[in-house]
Amino acid sequence: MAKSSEHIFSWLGVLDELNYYELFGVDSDATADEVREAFHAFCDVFHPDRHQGRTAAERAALSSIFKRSTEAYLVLTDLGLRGQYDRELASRPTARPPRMSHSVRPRAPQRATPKPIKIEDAARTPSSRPFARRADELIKSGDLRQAKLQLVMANHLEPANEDLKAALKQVEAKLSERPGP
Amino acid sequence: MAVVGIDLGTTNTVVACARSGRVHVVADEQGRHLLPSVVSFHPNGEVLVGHAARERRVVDAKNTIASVKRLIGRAWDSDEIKKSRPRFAFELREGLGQGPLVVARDQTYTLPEISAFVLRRAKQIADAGLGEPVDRAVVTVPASFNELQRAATKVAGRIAGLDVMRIINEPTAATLAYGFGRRAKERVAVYDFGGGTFDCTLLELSGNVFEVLATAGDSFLGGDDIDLAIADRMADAFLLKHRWDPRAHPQVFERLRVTAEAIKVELSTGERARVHLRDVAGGVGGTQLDLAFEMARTELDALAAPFVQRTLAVCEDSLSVAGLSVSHFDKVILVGGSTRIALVRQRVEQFFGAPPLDRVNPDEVVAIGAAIQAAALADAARRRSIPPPPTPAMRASSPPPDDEVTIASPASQAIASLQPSLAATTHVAVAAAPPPLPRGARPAQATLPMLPDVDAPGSWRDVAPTSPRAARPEGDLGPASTPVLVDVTPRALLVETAGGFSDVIVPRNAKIPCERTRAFTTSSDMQTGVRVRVSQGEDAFFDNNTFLGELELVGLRAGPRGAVTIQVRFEVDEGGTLRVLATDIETGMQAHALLQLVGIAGTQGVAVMQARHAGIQVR
Repeated sequence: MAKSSEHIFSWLGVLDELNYYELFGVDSDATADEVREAFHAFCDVFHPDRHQGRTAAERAALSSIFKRSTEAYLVLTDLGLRGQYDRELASRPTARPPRMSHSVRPRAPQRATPKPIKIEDAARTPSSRPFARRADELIKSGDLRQAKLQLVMANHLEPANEDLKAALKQVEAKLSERPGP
Repeated sequence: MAVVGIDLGTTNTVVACARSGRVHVVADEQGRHLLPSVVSFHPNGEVLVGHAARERRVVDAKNTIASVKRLIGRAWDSDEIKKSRPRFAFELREGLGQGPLVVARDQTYTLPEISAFVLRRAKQIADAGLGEPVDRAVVTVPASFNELQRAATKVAGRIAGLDVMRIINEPTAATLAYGFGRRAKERVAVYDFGGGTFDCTLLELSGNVFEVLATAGDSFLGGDDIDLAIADRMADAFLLKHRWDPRAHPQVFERLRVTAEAIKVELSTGERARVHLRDVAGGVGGTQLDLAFEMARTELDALAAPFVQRTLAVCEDSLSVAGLSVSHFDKVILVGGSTRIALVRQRVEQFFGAPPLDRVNPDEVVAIGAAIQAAALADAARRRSIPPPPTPAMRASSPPPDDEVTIASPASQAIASLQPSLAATTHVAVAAAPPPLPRGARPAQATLPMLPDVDAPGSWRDVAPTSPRAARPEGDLGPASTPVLVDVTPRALLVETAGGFSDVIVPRNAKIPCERTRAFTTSSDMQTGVRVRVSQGEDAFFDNNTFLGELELVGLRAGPRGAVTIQVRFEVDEGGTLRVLATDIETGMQAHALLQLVGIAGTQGVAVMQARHAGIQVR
C-alpha cells in the first residue's frame, strides 16, 4: 500500500527530466485532442483533490507534479507556444527539457520598485531625459500614441539604454492590446 | 459530523448534502428549500434570517439587509458600492481598510458578518435536517468573483463556525450536478443568471473529469437590476399621478421593489400582471395615496432586453477566450432564478442554437453540485493510487550544471522517497545497491518497489490504465467514481511595473493549480528592499484593476541597480487561493514574504467577529 507513496516521490525526482510529452505519455506529434485526453487521464490520477487523505509531504509533491501538468497542457494546446517549445527541445537534445516559465517565454528581468518608477529615472543623458519625462506624463494621461513617439526619440538619443528600450516595447505592446481612439 | 454544500446566493441560499450515494436539498422545519438571503435586526435584539426577515423588508427596510452579496469584498470607493448606496434602504458606512459596514440599530457590521448570519441559519437548518451537526462545507461563489470577494466569503463561513473546505464556482457546481454519474464526453455551456451576478462558463466533460475551458462574468448584473427597472417604472407612474417621488423615500421604494419582483415572477408565466398597492404614501389632508400598476409581458421584455443583451456579450467573451464557437457545444445548462424569465430562455436558445437544458431545478442545482464536491473532498480515505513515473529520455550524457539536481535513475528513487522534503533538491547518488535503510522506515516490501527497467519504453499510462475498472484502488472505495474539477483563474493576476503598467503573471483562464515565476531586479543603487504590488484584472493600467495587496521584501544586499535579482512566484492552489512569494536568490538567502489581502480581516479580526456572533441569537 505504500507503493503509491514511493511512486509519488519517484515522479517528483524525474519531474525536471521529463519533457511535456513524456509527462503526459503522448507522442511529439500528438493532436490537441490527444493531448487533452492525456491531460484528463492525468487529472484523474494526480489532481490534488484525488489525494485528500495523504500526508502533507505527499500532497506537496503531488501539487508540484500536478502544477507541471497544467503548465504542460497550456503549452501543448497553444500552437504558438508549442512550436516554440518544440524548437527549444530540438536545440538541446541532451540537456534538461525547457520549462515554459523559464525558457519558452524569455523575458528581460523587470523592475519591482518601492513606487511605480518613472521612465524619466531610466534616462541617463540630459538630452534623452526631457523626452522620457514627457513620455511619463503622456502615459499618465493615457495618450500612449504620443508617449510612444517621445520614447522613440529618447531611444534615438540614448541608443544603448536597455531600460528605455524596454519602456518603448512595453508601450508598443500595450498599444497593440488596446487600440486607442 | 456531516459535510454540506451551500449555495450562498444574492437572493436565496440553499443547503444540500450528499450522503450514502444520494444528494438532496435540506429543507427547513416547514419543508422549504430556499432560504432568503435576508437578515433583519429585530427591535427585541433578535436577528431574523430568511422568510421572517424578508417579510420585514416592507415594514423595517432600514434594519433589513438584503443582497449584500453584491457588495461583499468590494472597496468603499468602488463603483459598485457607489452605485448601490442610494439604492439600498439600509445605511452603509466606510469602515477600516475601505471595507463597507452595514448600520442596523446603532450597530455596525462588516459584510462577512451579515453573510455569516445567513450561513448560521443555513447551518441550523442542516443540523436539524440531517440529525447531526455540520462542521464543514463547500460554499459557492460566482465564477467572476475576485480574490477579495472569495476571501470575504471564506471569512463569513469561519464566523458562522463552518470550516469552508473549498470555494467553488457556481456554474462549475451546476455542471457537476448535471454531469455527475453520466460519464459522458461532451462540451457544455453554463448560463448562470442569478439575482446579482451573471456568469457564462464553458466546460468539457470526459468521464469524471470536469475541465473548465473558459469562464467570463459580470459580478454586477442580475435579476435585481430588472426588479429595479420595474420599480423605477412604478415610481414614475406614481410620480406622474401624485407628484410625489417614492425614490426619495427608501422604505416606500423598498416596497415597490418587493412588488416589482413579484410582478417579474408573475410575468414569467402570465401575459399580464396587475397590482394595487394601498397606502403607498400620505397625500394632502391625510388622504392615502394608492398605486395601481399594470404591466404586460412585452413591457417586461423591453425592460429586460438590455440586461439580457449584456449577458450574451459575456457569453461571446467566454467563447472567444476558449477559441470556440457555439456549434462546439452539446448542451446549454440554465442556472439561477433569472433564467425563468421567458425572454432569457428565448434569447439563450437563439444564441446557442439549441433549447437550453433545465432538467435540474435552476435554484437548487448549484447547491447540489457543491454537496457532491463536499462529499468528494471530505473523504479522508480518498487516495488514488499512483503509478510509477515514465523513464525520461536519456539525457544524462552531458554533465549536469552544478546548480541542478543530479539526474536520479529509477534505482535511486526508493532512497529519494525516504527524504521527501529534500527529494527535489538534494543530490542523490546513483547507487548500485540500495544502502541500508533507517530502522523502521519502511516494511521490507516497500523498500523493494517494483521499479520499471531503466530502459523501459512507454509511458505511465501503459502502466496504469485509467479506466475506473482497471485502476487499482488503494484500500479505499473507488475514487475514480468521484468527479474531479479542473477549474481556472477567473481573472489575470498582475504586478505593477515601470510607468504604472500591469504585467500579467498568471493569465486569465489559466488552469489551476498552477505556478508562475518571474524575475525582477532592483531599480536603484543601494536599494535594500522591494515592494511588489499585486492586482487582479485585465486592464493594461495597473490602477484600473482590483488591487489585492502588496508584499515587501527587505534586507536585500545593497548593490548597484539591477545587481540583485528577486524571484517572484505566484502560486494558485486547487482551491483558487493565491500565494505570492518573493525570494532573494542571489545572496543565497531565501526570504519569503506572503501577500496580505487588503480589507480582509486577519485571524484576530475573525475571532472578534466570532465572539460577537456567539452572543447573538439567530432565528
